[in-house]
Amino acid sequence: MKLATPQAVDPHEPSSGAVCRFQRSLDDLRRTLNSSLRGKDDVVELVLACLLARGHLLIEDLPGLGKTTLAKALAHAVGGHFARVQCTPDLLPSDITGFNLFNQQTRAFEFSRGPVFSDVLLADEINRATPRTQSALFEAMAERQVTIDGACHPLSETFFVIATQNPVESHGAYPLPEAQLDRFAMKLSIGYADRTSELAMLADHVGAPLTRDEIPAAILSPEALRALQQHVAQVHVSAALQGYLVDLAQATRRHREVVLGLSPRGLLTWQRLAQAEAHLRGRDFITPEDVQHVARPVLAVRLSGEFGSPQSVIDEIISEVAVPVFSAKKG
Amino acid sequence: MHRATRTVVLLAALTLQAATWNSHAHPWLALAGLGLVLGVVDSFGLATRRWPRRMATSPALVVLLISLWCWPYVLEMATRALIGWGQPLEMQIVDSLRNLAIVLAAQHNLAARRVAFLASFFLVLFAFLLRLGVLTGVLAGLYALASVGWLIASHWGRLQGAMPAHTRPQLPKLPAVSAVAIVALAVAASALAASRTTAARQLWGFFPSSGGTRQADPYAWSGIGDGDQVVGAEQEADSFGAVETEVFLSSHVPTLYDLLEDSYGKPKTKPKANDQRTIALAQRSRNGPEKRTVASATAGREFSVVRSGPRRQRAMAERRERAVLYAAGYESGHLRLETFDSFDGSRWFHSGAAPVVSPLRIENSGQRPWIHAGGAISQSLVRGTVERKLKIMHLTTARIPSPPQLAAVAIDKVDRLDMFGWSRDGALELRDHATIPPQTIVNTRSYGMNLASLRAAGDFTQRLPRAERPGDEDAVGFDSAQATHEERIACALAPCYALPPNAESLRGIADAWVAGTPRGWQQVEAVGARLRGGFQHDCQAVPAADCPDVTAHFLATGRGPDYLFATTAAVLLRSLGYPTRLASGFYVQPQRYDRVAAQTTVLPEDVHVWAEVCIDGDCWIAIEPTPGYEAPRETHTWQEAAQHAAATLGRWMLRHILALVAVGALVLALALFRRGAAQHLVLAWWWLWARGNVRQRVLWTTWLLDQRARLAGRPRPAHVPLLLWHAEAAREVSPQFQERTRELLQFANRLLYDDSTRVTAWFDEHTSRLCREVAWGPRRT
Repeated sequence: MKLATPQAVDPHEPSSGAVCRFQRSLDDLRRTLNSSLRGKDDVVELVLACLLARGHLLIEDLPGLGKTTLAKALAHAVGGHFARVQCTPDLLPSDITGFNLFNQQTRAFEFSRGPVFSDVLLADEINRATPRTQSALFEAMAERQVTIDGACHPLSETFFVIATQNPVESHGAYPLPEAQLDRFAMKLSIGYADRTSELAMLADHVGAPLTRDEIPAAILSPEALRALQQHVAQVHVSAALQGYLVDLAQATRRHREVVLGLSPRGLLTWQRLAQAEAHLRGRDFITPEDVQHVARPVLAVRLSGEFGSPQSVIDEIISEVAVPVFSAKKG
Repeated sequence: MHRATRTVVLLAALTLQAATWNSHAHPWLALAGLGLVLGVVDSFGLATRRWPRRMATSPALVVLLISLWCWPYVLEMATRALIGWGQPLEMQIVDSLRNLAIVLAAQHNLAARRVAFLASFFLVLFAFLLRLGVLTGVLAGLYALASVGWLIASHWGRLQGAMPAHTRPQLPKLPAVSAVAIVALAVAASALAASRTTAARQLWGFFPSSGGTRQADPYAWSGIGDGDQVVGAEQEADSFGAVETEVFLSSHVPTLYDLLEDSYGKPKTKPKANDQRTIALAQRSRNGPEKRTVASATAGREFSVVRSGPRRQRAMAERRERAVLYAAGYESGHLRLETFDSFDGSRWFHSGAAPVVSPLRIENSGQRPWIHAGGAISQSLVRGTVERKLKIMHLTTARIPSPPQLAAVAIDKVDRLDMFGWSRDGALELRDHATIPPQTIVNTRSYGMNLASLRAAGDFTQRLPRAERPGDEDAVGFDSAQATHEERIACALAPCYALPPNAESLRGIADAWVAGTPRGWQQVEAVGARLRGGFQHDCQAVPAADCPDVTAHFLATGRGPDYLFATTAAVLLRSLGYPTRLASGFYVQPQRYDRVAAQTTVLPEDVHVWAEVCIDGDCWIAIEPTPGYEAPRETHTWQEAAQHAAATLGRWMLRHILALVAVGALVLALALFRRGAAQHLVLAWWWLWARGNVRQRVLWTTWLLDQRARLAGRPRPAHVPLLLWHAEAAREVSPQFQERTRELLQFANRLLYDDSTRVTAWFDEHTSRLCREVAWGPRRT
């Protein structure tokens, strides 16, 4: 059975007072991203959820669908320093993390920071970098720090990685290992826009100036983003829904076609994403709908096994576990 | 795990039922009843399983469990009152436990399932203690296998990882196969060597500890040798043979008359003034009673229907110690010892007329010499033979307790025809013996009777020879050696038509009772049915000593002991012209069936008196006019049984046609409008339980939405959240209803998943209103 179609945000749903403080920023952020990526409201919502959940994003799609555009728009919207890395097979780990450079004048080594020390890092076509270079991001993504020559350098607290990869190309590509995939919060696929959106896109570019696009103003500062992320982490998760999440995780490990199921890190990520989803819908508690809504992107990046389409496997896993309805108890 | 628990419990229930199988007169009916009970109780269990977990701990479940616990006791009271059938208290308790176990097996709670498993183990243990048979053993074996599966399932988390990946057998094949082959050959040889006994019994006798080696072992239970315990033969009645040496000498063994006096009281004597009147009577009349006394003394004494009433019940004693005899099996029935053909208004006695009996002959069959005593019976009435074992315990009589239509008797290896003979009133007895030795096993064979052709035959009395002077006292000295068979029959039946003094008025009553009934056996049955249905069995309601007409007294009071029922039936039937006599003996009560020993105990209080009607010269059919006693069962072929059942069902349906039509209309209406009816029931249930705090109201309302979706054929899948499913379904009703439903479900989400929700007065009132609108909404759209 197919997964139920996610509901749009209910404008009538009551919201708590604390949500309203960030609501305008979120609306602006949403509008900005939608203007960059037309006709993909659901993708934009998931990207926002990933951002609020302090997760890293992997976008896998065909060329020319707006992956980089979306990443750049997001990076500029949240403010801070934006860095971009175009992954190629000759990219070295130090090109990402930085390196120590000997200064002839001071006769001392000076650390030259790499792109990883930005607030938002766009790693384009990450599957084209060598595994050694890919592994340079492991520590950064998981712990938000890098260790170079024994020295530990912390990264920004809102360090956010947006990686893209092309599913078509196989020559000269290095698939990401499961260990690194598990460090991404979700994997999204943008897909083609609908006809109306593409027509609007074409119309917007008629007569558009050929100068470089203006960098839009930041909507959120890093500090504001940090506070928002902290606020989202406070969204209530009832014991029943935690049990539901655990049941789903166990179902992924029991599935006959899945070799590698959901890890505890993935389970935590799933909970954070559900919290972010609930917050975006204006609630201060999560519901089973939130859990199911983010299930696909969360599990798509983690499950591995001998199956053709991960979507059908995810749907099967969802259908195996009953939502906690009448067993939910008041805490 | 859920299925495993239910399987285990249902197997335990079936094992218990198999152990009590042979205690039922109609085992298939018992099985159908069990199936109905299990189906109903299991449905309750499954229904509670579908309840929301919060409701599963509500008082509703407790009420249900208490109801199922009490059900066997309520049912017992109803069956005892309505059909006179009941079970011992321990069986009721076990039935209650069975019902509880079935419901608990269906619960979510692991603790409940464990309790159900323990209860099932107790049920199987009880079944083993009750009786171990083939079916019980097979079911118990299946239960054991299922239990192993249950244990594995319940502890799988610990077993997983500890199970070996593979095993390698270490038992050498050749010795194992050889051992199995030897055992199988031994079993097969025993089975081949067995003739009438089973292979199991043959094997049992081979064990030296059981006495099979003819060595006396004081600890042996039974066997085929001469063990000391064989004489006791408490476990296998047919392992005992006729003991030639006298083993027991007891002065406390009662005679039949001792038992009659204990049960009915001593005969009342009339006041002495009657004796003075007697003196004034003519010589002939004065000698009559004395002569009759002499005749009855030689024929079997007399039976007075004017008695003082039963004594107070003695203190409870061990039933086995008081047993008069044991009858193998569960079947109820009459065991005749004496008959009386003359009635003077207060006493029954035998006239001394020579009975019409067939000559005895011996025939070996089934390793046992049978003494054939049955006369010629119309083959249209006979449906095979029925064998029964009786074990005489404490009864001083030489007469053999005979079931109706006795065909043959066998006492182990006794093949001396001269040991048997006929008494003056036509009862088979041991010659030259004052009593049958205690613990003698008497095998009886009687004809299975089917009276359908007799009912259809009409007036059978026309074929009976009649004496020219019925009741002639000279018939006492009738020379039966010179008489023809018909003359002998006529002489023997002559006293059986005679009415007591002042009994002519009873003819009118008899005619009224049989009005509209064709003459023949149907009239006989009509009289018996009238007595059974319209009168009350009361052992204490005895007539006074100076009662001039006990029959009239009985008819007037409407109650009395069994001998008055039998006397009245006999007198009424005689007034209609049917040859009837009184019979006394024992009635084997099915309530005294001992499941462990598979035998029915006959106690002193089981003495009984009934009437018998002659249909064919020497064939007497017993009729049972006393309520609470079963008439002798007829034997049916399956076609007759089916026809009888269909006819009975048809008559019952005709009698209750209005009720059936009403029920049928109701069922049809429910079938046609089942969805609507179910909707109303669900709504009524919601209205009943959706009370209390706001959380309960909201949860019950969401339950209502789930039930409606199920009844509409779109049940909510368990993995789909409430809001997603029901909000979409509500759109089909109306946009407004959808809006209400969404709002309610959003509140439900908050109550279910936000523990910090604060229920304000506004929230309470608003939510309650939403609940009502959603619950009643579709009906008003």
